[in-house]
Amino acid sequence: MSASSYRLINFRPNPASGTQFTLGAIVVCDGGVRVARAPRIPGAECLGSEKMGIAVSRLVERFTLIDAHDELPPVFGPTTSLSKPFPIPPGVQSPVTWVERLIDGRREDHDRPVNSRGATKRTLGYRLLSAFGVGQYVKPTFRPESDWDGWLQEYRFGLPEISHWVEGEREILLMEPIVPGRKQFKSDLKTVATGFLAYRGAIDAVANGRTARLVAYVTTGGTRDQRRMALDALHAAAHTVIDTNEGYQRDRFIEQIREVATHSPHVMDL
Amino acid sequence: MIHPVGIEVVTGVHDLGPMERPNSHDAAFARDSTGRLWVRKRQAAFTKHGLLAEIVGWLVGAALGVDQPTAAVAQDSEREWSWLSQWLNTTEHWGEHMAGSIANPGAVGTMLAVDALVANGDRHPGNILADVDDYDASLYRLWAIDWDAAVVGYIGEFEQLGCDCRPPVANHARCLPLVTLRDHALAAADRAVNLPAEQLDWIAEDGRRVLAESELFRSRLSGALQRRCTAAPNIVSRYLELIGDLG
Repeated sequence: MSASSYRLINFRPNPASGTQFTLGAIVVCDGGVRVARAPRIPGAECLGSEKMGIAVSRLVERFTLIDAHDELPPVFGPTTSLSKPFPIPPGVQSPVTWVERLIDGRREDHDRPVNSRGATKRTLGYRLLSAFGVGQYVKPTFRPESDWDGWLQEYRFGLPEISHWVEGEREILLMEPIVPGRKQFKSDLKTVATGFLAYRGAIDAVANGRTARLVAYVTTGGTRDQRRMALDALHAAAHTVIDTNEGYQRDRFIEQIREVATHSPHVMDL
Repeated sequence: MIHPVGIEVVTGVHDLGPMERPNSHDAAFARDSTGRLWVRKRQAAFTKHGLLAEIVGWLVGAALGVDQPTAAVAQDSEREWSWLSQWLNTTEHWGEHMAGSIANPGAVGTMLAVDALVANGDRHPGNILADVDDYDASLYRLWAIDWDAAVVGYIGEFEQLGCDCRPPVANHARCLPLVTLRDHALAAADRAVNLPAEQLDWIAEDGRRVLAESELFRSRLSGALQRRCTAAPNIVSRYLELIGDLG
């Protein structure tokens, strides 16, 4: 009996960030080639856009064309690649199921459903920014009492923490993700609007040559009405509200993050 | 007045890693100083002829309306040129099941016309990217890539070709809906006839500049392109017959 092995089918949407999603595997067993499919295929909310979600589902449909153990059919474009082969331990009764379980176990957290327990709004937002290739510029949790040299220390008692921030030289971005698919969606809007309004007052009052932009960004998912509601609710509190489903807005947002981070005094650390 | 539309020259390009796909000419992912992502092919891996063919094919394609990723060239510290093609992260390659769902048949027909004009027989499935259409997600928007095998990269051979076609490769993309694409390809051929000589001259000048060739080279390339464009309806019509014979 010949040894069984598998090669992972990886989707790499952004070669700059190195983020990879395992969509399945080519399994060599019982003298033939079979295909294991990842139990959970990442959707638009993890990948960063509806379009990419569709592209991935199309790739998964193409699994039926796979007939070789060492290469993908030509229709798989440059976004997909095969890993090196890995052995399947002898004695495994059902190699395909074994590989599918393995993929599920090694699955990274980017593809957890939006409403799963434990995936906080902040984490979901950070995953999305990583998928956009700018995760390395984003710092977790802005604490007004200490961050950016305690810039807003004087106002700390009236200011909440902010999910994440990007440091520049004279300007920072204070960013809050809005996840339309969350149960707490409406209360999130209220919390972010209240927090941003408090920051607006502090930013206007502090006079030390530094400033901040308050950015709310709506992640993928939810209904069109929810997305519109988010934009309406936050436009008066935030300096900028981004709908990441909109290509131009998303690109401008990513550009802005890069632009601000490029002027960070710690740019060499990035 | 025709404005020159030259190939963009990009600076500060650094590699992010190999593409790990077959037939990719050792292509690598790369990023430029403004953060744009590219697929980079180094001249050493596909010769100066391939680079010239990419430049001319892309520029003629742009002049006639082919949908193709943004392209540029870059020179590294060793003064070696690379061809850069914009990274599109939602694409797969052409597959026969897409034949009834092409979002941009006009641009695809034009691609076939340009293949005929620059004598590119290498339109295999891997040289057509299929993207999710922005307006109708059930359709495929096709992008043309890789003109590097076109005869136009070899000026002497291109001149000798006269008004003949280069036979397409055996694995030419099958099932392209030629009945639909034919009219678009012939319309593109008519547009080619009317391309101003000045515009073809600019295209030849771009090739000459990157390859650091002589004025005579530019003049020969421009002349050969003009002759092909003048005869475009015949050349394109014959080429469509050739690929139609492939099935």
